[in-house]
Amino acid sequence: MAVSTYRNKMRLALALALAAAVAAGLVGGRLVRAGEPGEHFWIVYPALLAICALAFAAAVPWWRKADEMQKTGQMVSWYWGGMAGALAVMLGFVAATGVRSELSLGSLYTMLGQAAGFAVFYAGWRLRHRGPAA
Amino acid sequence: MKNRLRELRRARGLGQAELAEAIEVSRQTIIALEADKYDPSLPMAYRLAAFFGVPVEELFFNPWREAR
Repeated sequence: MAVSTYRNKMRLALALALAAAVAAGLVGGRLVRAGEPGEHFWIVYPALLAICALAFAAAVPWWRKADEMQKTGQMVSWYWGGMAGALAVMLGFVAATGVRSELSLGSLYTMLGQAAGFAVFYAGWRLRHRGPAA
Repeated sequence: MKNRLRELRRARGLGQAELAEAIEVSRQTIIALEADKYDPSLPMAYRLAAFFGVPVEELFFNPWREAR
């Protein structure tokens, strides 16, 4: 039986990404529960961002090894499916608890964060794909 | 994009998984390409053409050229 090197590398990279995501969730959860909400915000928040950044970094090998069709599938699904799912949940909160409830506002802020992240990455993407005008 | 990928792969005696392994893509990608369900980028088209030792247009048919 032939050794499936590419498949094995992909599985290993995916396992690393998933393990890092789970570890980030566990460590981040412990950190948040260690104090009162809002306590030491300027320590806890950067620490949580750093933990997330490490989890993202652990997913880079998987992303780099994925072929273009796999990447396209991920991007299409995250863009349309992710946005539709988030919108459906936010609209459910709005319909059930009102526009100004904490749930509605929380989901709105999350979507604003998504929009801001999208804008930053899209601007970076456009800048990287600039060429000289004829 | 219509292509001769399946024909060339079979002529080499390769399975879909073996071809996928050789050019470091997933088997699903080879299946989608052969079924004309996914259009490859130029780098992937050239990579496949180089693997089989044929020009790109012998592997992937140019629909715009044929339409003339």
